[in-house]
Amino acid sequence: MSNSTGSAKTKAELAVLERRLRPVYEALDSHNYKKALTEAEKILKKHPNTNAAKECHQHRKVVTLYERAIQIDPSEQNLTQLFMAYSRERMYKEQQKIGLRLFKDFGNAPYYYWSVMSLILQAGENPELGQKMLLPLADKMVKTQIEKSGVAEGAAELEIQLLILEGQEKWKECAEFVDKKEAIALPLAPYNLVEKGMSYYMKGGQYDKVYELASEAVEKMPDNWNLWKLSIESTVNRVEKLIESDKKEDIEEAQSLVKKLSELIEAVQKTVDYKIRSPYIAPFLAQKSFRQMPKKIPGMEDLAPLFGDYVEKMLKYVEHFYKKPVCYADLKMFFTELTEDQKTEFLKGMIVWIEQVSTADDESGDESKVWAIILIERCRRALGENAKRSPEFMRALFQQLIAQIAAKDRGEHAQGVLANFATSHLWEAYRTDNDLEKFYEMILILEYVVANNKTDPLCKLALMRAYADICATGRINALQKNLDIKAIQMDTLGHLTFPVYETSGHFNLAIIQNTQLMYMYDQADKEIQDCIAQAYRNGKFSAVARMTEVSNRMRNSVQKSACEVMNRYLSSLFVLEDIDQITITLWGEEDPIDWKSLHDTRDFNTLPYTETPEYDVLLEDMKQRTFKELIDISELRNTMCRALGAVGRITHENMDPRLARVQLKITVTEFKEHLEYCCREYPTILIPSKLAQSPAPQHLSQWVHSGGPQMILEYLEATIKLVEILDSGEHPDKSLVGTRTEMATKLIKLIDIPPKRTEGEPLPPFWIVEPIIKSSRALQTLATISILLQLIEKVVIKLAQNVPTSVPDVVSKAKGKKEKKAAEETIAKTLSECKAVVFLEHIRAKHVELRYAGNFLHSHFSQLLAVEDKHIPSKVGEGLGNAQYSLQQISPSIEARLERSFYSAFEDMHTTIKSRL
Amino acid sequence: MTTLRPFDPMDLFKFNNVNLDINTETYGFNFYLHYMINYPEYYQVAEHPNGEIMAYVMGKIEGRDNNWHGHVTALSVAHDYRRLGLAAYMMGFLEKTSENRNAYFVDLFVRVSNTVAIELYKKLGYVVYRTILGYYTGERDEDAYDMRKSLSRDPEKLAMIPLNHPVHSRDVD
Repeated sequence: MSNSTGSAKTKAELAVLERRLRPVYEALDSHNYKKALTEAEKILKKHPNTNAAKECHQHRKVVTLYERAIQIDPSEQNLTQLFMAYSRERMYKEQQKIGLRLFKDFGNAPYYYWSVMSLILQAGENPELGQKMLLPLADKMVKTQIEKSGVAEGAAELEIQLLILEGQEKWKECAEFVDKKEAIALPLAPYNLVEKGMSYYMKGGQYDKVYELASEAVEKMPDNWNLWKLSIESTVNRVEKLIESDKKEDIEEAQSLVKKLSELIEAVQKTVDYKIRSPYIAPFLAQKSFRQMPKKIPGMEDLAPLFGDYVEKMLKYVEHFYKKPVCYADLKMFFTELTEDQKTEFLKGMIVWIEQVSTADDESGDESKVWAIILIERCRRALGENAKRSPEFMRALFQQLIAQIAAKDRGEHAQGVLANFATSHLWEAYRTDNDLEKFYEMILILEYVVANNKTDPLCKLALMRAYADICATGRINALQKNLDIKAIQMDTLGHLTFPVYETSGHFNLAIIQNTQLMYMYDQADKEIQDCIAQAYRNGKFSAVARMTEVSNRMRNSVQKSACEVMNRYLSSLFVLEDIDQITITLWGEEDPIDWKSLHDTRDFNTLPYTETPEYDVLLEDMKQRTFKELIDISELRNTMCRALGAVGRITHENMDPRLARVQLKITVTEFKEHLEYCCREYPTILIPSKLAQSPAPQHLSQWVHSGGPQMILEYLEATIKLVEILDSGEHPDKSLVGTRTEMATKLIKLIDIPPKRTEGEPLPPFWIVEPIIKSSRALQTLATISILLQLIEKVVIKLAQNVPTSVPDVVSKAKGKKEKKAAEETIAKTLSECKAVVFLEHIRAKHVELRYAGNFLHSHFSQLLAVEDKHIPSKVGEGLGNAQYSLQQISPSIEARLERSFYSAFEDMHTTIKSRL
Repeated sequence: MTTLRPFDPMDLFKFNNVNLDINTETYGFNFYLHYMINYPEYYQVAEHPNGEIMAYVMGKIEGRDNNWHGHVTALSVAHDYRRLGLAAYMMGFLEKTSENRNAYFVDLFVRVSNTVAIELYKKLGYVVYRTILGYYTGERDEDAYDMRKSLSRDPEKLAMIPLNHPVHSRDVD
């Protein structure tokens, strides 16, 4: 990557250059890259030989700038900065060299280890080469240095040695290493160090040793789950090995190991007597692990005599720990181990237990009974019991849960859990039967809790999710603010709100939100890189690799790419005025996005109540589908933007004309292929995932079947032909882009947003949501075509030779029939002389069609807002006794909020129509 | 039933269940990573066997001479994992770490409105050493209590003798 200045410079010249480069370094040091680049541009004008790579990203430019800088001034600071710039760009080979150079030039031992760390990072990227060459080399380098200079850097040297051993998977050596006296200097708490040693023994297959250490430690720390896990896993591994052989003594040895484990559990249980949980969960894990072995232990097919009866043990566990909210999470891990009969037996046992609990005397402030109810109901749901219950029974249960939620003096924690659990039934009815009444009831209950419960965040989160399905952006905004979602959470929880402002036609809000997100990503990248630099400086090498992984994850976050693309798209359509600026924005970065390398950083584990048996499969399926949809819709926007940008680049002065034409063809083909793919993958029958944990819906299917992207594609394909015609010196015919009537027909279909009413039937609840989404997407198409037409116009003006840019305006000036006739003849003559003019006028006339379409769309808005059908279900809370009254009482204010949200969507879109069409 | 392990930066992608709590602040990357780099033994995460983060504690060691002390920067337990004694367990871990580092005392700042936490810290032997005016700013401006507990190096518990006047946050080092 290093660049040569190409000519020998005099000292004076270098001094001048150095002085001029200083502001660049200062700006770089303060991470003000924009300023650094501006300063660099200034220098480049004055010193054209300091040829910074103009086609690269800003950070790449930073690398180049420091590469230049060290040629002029190879100071320690500049070399260090170059090392960090390489680190940012993952240029580990280059940073390895700079590390060594720093060490040689300035003699500081830490720089030597910077270079070694660069080798370790290279090995991480290329494990095969790492094992064969890079790590052995790193090992040799460290040993040589220690032999030469002794251990000078303390923990830093230890850390790097351990990293090399780990990379080489020398687990035995790792374990011995952390066992050494000096290992105490490693940046770990003493206890963490002990566990680390055990994990190395485990990886190295030294199961006897693991068991010995873990079983001894677990007696002192009986609630340490890791120790139980290690004790059980090491036993399972030893047993597995022993029963591979059919020798009697091996089988007996295996049996004795299992027995020993059961005795350990029993012994510890006796000492703790239900004061802690781990020893009572350990038997479940032990049984589960032994059962999962491919071969059963001869003579020990039934493990119950050793570890106890599953159901009996679970019921005991419930009895002792039901007051802890965690009790359900503990047991749930082992529900998959129960047979159908055991499930029935367990639930029967729970009924007997809860009857005893409910007959106990109430104590003020004690919520034990509520937690018992929560536990039994969650277990019932998880074990498939609810599916067997009648709708009437479930309604009655729901009524009881509401009573519990609203009970006087109900603790906020229990209230939140009850509300989420109660509403999970409603959400399921919405998901499976599209039951909008229950969906609205759920909103009312959640709103009730949110208004009365300050500390529960999950009801707010569930509400945000619900409102995302119905474009209620006003309330989403408030809830998001209230939950104080910020920093990394904007990435991991971004899916709750991401497309909702765009689908609701609030384009400015969408841009603001995306801009905030993009700022967060920039900031995150800067902060992580700062910390990596800090870790190098402090010799905290084990942190470097982990932080690099986080940095990679953030850089390749699917949410980040989706935001970046949507912002380019929406800003070009609805904010930017200058057509050249629009072209640049549409085109984006030179380097294409690698869609296949994107990471899913979305956190779907926050919303609870995933008890039902099929939930694991549903969640996994949803994650994969929505991840794919997010990538597909972003790629569609991106290919569209690139194709539009390529049209604009045809007219750019500094573009190579041949390259511009090739890019146009390629990008339009990419857009076409991706659009066709999306049409196939997302048929009209496809509806967005309705799981409570799903992200806000993208509605890709709606978009690709709206006719909008197809219209855009037609104009793009016509543009390719147009350029060919103009390049050949010919003039285009207006038929190339279709007639106004054809356009009008397509636009009418596009803006056909009013809901279809069945004669005599009221519209369904939330009927207005679909027209909002359709309007937003139609408006995006209108704006896209408008920009495309402007770009086409520019192409004609630029490429058509000797063409007047407009038809002479002689008709309006003509007076009398004779003059008018003469004027018309003049126009006809001009037109026949130059078809390009006609073509231009035709293109301009198409803008009128777009305006008509915009006005029609607006008139639809007015009609929709005048429709009297209610937006919310007419029946709320039927069969819920007193709760019905409470729900009906809060409904009007919720309805008013929803209406305000819907109204504001149309209002925003109307403003857009006025300003952009 | 807990696995206490050092914080890993990947935890940031899955700690929402803890951080959505109203009294838990979410910071930028540099905040968490700074603690991980410089005070890894003070930054511990409690993990449930199902893989969820149950709680975390982050702290540091700082000060000079007889002000050399452990500081609890953040301690938060997810809603579903409360009432298990996790907070006390993690505080114990942090105190032990500070003992190992020969500190005189451990201190922490807490919102004056967070009565549940204040009561817990009192139970664990902490006292309100002083009130810090205007310590919390942002959406919910609030004063803080600086609570302290002496370690074995301060047998006379000098660090715990309360100040008789509040101090302003700008005067706190």
